[in-house]
Amino acid sequence: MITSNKTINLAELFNSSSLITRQAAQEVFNIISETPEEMIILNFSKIKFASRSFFDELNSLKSKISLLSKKTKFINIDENIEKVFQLVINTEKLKSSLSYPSIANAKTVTI
Amino acid sequence: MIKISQVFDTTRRLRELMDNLRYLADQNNDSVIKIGKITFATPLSITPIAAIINKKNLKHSYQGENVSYLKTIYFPEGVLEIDKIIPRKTYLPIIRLRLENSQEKENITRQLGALHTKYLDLLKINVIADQRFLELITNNTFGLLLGEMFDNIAEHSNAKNVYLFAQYWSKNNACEICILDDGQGLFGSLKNAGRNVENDQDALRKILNTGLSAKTEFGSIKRATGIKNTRAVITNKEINGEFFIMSGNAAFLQSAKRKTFFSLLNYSWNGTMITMRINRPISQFDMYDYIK
Repeated sequence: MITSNKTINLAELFNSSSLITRQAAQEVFNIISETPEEMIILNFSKIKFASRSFFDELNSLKSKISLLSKKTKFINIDENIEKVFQLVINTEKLKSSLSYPSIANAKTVTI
Repeated sequence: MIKISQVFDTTRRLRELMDNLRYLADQNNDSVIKIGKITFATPLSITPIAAIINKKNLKHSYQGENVSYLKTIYFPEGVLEIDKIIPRKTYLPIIRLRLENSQEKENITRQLGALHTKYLDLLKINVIADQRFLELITNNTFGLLLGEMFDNIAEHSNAKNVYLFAQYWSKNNACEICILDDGQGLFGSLKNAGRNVENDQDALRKILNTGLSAKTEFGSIKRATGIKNTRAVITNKEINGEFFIMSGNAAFLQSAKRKTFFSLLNYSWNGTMITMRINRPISQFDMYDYIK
């Protein structure tokens, strides 16, 4: 069986080398959901920066992508950007135990 | 009169800023704002002043020989087209991004993405003249810090204007970046998303303490890991910097050693302002040690 592919060139799509917003990930998902192809290749060529928020949103949409019987693959991803993506994947496993530094000992000043 | 002292102590600057903001709040369209002599001003001190003068369309006059410095940083109007910035050392002018014609989230995403890319490049050339500083901190760290703040603006602010101003001081081996918007603020964002918050102070405390954030349409709660990560990257012992956030009548300042909440007397900032002070570390800094 031949799987049809579609490549999304992210730098071209957003006319930028930075992917920083959750909205950007939503846009990518919208394209994925509207396209008939089953394998979507996300081309990170010319992308210099991708935020944790972007990957966090994209990762949260992966179950929806699966429900559409589609798969995604990243190509030409810079190693620093890959690190951020891996960070998001690893954090997902820890989400229930995510803690925040206490502010209990912070004093309050009126100015 | 607007007075800005040449001090770096943040609490002193904050008290002075509040005096200046209260002075501006009392002015109307017929007023002429007097601006005292300013030979330099930190981003925290000058950026919100620029935003208010523009918002209220206030006329202003300068006392003393400060015009050339303020002109150089394009105070108060800011630069609207980042491509027209001429390279200078140690500081970039005030950048103003108008979002008022961009109510579509897709347009806001593109505007902020473009600003992020260009500003990172300009930071490298203009602000961080000390290449060793940049090597130790890395451009990725700046990318993370700016990116998280821009995402919050896109997601939560409903802002019409964003201001951005950065400076680097070689004597102090420090860089300060101020990002502010004129949107609905933290309390407004959480309240409009149906979150249980009582006022500005409560909203800020819950965001910092528990990561409270707006709900998604499917009911899953997103946690404010952006601010959490930013605080972790800036206020650890390596960077030894400062993180400051102000929204409504609430503010919070964190350094490696101290955390302080501020209650603003007789004043409320419409929107959200964040200032980050980044000091040069002694050795190579790896932000992945601090972000989750």
